[in-house]
Amino acid sequence: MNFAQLTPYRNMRSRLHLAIKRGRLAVLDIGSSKITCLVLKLDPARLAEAGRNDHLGTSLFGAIEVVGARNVQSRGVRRGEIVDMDEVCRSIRMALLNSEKMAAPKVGRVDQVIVSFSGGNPQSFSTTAEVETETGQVTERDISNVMGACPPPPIGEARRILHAQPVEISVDDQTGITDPRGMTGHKLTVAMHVLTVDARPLSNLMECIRQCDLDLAGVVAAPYASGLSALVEDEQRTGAVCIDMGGGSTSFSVFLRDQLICVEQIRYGGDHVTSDIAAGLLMRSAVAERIKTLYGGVIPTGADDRDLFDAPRIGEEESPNRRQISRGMLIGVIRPRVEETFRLVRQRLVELGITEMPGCSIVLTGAASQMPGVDEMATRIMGRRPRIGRPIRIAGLPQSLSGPDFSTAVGLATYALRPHEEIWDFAAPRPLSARGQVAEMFRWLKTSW
Amino acid sequence: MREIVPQIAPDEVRPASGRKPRSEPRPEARKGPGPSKLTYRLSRAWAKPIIRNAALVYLPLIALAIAGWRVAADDGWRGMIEARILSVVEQIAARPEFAVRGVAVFGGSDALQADVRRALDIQPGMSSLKLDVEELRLRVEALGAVETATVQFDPQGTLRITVVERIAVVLFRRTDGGLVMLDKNGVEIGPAERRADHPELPVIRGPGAQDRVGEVIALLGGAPGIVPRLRALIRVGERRWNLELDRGMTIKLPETGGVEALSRIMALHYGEELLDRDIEVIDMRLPERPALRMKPEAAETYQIRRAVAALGGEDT
Repeated sequence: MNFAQLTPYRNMRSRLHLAIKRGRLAVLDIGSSKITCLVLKLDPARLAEAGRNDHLGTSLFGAIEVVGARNVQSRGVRRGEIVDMDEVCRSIRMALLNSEKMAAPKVGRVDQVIVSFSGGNPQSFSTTAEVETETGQVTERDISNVMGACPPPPIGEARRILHAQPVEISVDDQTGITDPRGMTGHKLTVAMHVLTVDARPLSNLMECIRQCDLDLAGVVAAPYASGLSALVEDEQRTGAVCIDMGGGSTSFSVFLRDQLICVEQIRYGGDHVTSDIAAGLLMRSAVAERIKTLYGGVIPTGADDRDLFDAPRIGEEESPNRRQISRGMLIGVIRPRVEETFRLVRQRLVELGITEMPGCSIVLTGAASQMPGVDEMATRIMGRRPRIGRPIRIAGLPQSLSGPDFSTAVGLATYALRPHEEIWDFAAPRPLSARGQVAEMFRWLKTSW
Repeated sequence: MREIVPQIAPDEVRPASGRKPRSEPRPEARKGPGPSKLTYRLSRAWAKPIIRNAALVYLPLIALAIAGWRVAADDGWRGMIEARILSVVEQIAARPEFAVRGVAVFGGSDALQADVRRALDIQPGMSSLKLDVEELRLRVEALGAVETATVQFDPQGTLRITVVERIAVVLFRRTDGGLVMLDKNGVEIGPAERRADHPELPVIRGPGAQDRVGEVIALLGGAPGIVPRLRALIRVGERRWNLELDRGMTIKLPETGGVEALSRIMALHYGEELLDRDIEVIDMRLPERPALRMKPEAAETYQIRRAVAALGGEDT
C-alpha cells in the first residue's frame, strides 16, 4: 500500500480527534430517502478512560450523548449518490441547523462532521503481506513495514479507498492477534480489507459537505456503520451479515472476529418497491409510499383478500368513488421485488462463501426491514432465520430515531467514538531504523563521529 | 396577447367541485424546504459565542459609550439634560408627601426652644428632601445653650428636635467688662445682661478662670455657707483662687488643697466668727502658716487697746 496517498485520510482523522477534544461532533447519514443528523456531546476524559480499561470497547457509551437530532427528507440523492447538489446541501443545512438548535443549550455549534456514504458501488478487496521482523520482536516499525508491503489491490480507474483495515495479524503461525507490538516472532503477516468506491460520487459528497462550511472528519460506508450499531458484539466476533435495506439500495456488510471483512451493495431498495406499486397499480408515488408503509407486506395470509383499502388511481385521489384494492393484491406487487432483492443478496453471499460459514447470523436492518414478513421471506430464501436489528441505545437518542431505519446514523456515532484502526492510523514506514526523532538524532551523532 | 378576464367575483367563477383553478407552474424549479445559504451561514455564525457576544454585548456597549461621550461633550445637550433632571427633581421634591408639617422641639426652656426655632428657620411646607438632618443638628448644637441635640423626621412629616440645655453654673466677668454665663464644663452659654438677673450664680474672673469652672464648683460645694457672702472668685496668675467677700474681705487660697483650706476657714468661722471680724485678708497660701491682715482701723483699735492694756487701764 502506498502511504503517500493517505494524507487526506490522515487529515480527516486529525479533525476527528479535534472534534473529540472539543467534545462535540455531528454525524450525517445521507441516504436516498432521508438525511439524519445527530449532534453528539462527547466526554473526552471518559472516552480515554474507557479506551484504557477496555480494549474492545464494550463500556463506551457513557462517554457520548445525543443532544440534537433531526431527520429530514432527502432530496437530490438517488441510490446513495448525489444527483442534485444544491438540493442536498439544502437538506443538510436544514438537518444540521435544526439539530444544532436542539443542541444549543448543551453544546455550541459543531464544525466537524462524519458522513455516511451509501452509494458508489462498493467493492471489497483483500491483500496480504509478510515480512521478517528486524529484531526478532515485533516493533511499530515492523508493523509499518508490513502495511507498506501489502500489494495495492487492483482498484481500477476512478476508484477511491474508503476503508483499509488490517483484519488479521499473525506472528509466525499464531493468528488472531489484536496487538502484536512487543511479541516475539520472526515473521509478521497481515491481511487487509480494502473497500473502494467510485471516486466521482464520493468527491461530490465531499464537495457538498464543503459547501455547507463543515469539516469532514470521516466518511464511512453506510452498511459498515449500520453493522456497527445493529450487530451485537458477539455477532461481530462469531461472524454476521448485516443486511441494510435502505430506500435506494440494499447493502450488506460481513463481520468476522470484530472486523469488517466485506461490503456489497445491491441496487434495489424500498424506493423500487414504491415505484413498482405506483407503476403496477397506476398510483401517484406519494400514495404508493403511504400504502406500502401502512398495508405493505410480503407474506400472503388467508385474510388478505378481505382486507380492502383505498388505492386511488392517478387523478382520482379526491373523488368519492376511489378504487379499493385488497391487501393480497398489494402483496402480489411488493413480493417479487423483495424476493428478487433477497435472491441477489443470497447469490452474493454464496459467491463470497459466507453461506457455508458456520454460526454466521443474519441481521436485517434499515427502513425496509420494518415491512411485515420480511424476516419470514429472508428465512425462506437464505435458509437462516434473521433477526431485525435495532441500533444500540445511546444516551439521549430520541425514541423516534431508535428504530431499525436509524442504525446507520447511530453506527456513525459509534464509529466516531471507537473507529477500527485503518491503515492511516499507522505510521508510514521510514527508511531509518529509529524509533523516535531523539533516538534518530543520537544514532546520527554516533555514526558521524 | 393578454386574455381578457371578466371582472366577476371569485366565488362565482369557482367550479362546482370547490377546487381553486390550478395556478400556472412557476418557471424556476421548485426548491425543497430548507434554509438558504445566507440564512444558514448567519445562523451558524450566530452560534459562535464570540460573534453573539459581540453583537449583543460589546457593540451596544461601544455605541452607548460613544453616544454618551458625544452628549457629554456637547454643552448645549448637557445643559438641557441637567435642566431636565433638575426640574424633575424639583417636581418630586415639591410634592406634598415630602413637605415638612411642623417643627416640634422637646427639652430646654421656652426661651431656648424659641432660639432653636429661630436658628433652624424652617417654614412649614418646605420640602423635607432639601433638608439635611445632620446639618440641622449641627446648626442647633451651634447654639451656646444647647449641649446635645437630636433631629429626626417622623413619618408624619414633623421635624422632631430634642435638645439638652446647658445649665449655667457661674458667671464669668471678661476682661472687657462683659458678663457671660458658663456651664459646668466652662462652655460659654451666652451673655448675661446684668449681675442682678442671676443672683444665685457666683462670678469668676481673671485669666484662665473660665477653664476652671469645675474647681469653682468643688470649692463652693465644700463651703456652702460662704456663698451668700461671696462677691467674686478671682483667678490669680492662672494658678490659684482669691475669694472676694463682701465688706472688703479677701481669702487667698493655695494652689493645691483649696477645698481643705476653705473648709478650715469655715471651721474657724463657725467656732470664732472669723468672717464676721474686721479682717481684710485671710492668707491661706502657705497651709502651715496661715496669716490674717486686719483692716487699718481695726488694727488701730487693736493698737489702742493693747496700749491701754499696757498702761494698766481698764477696757471701756
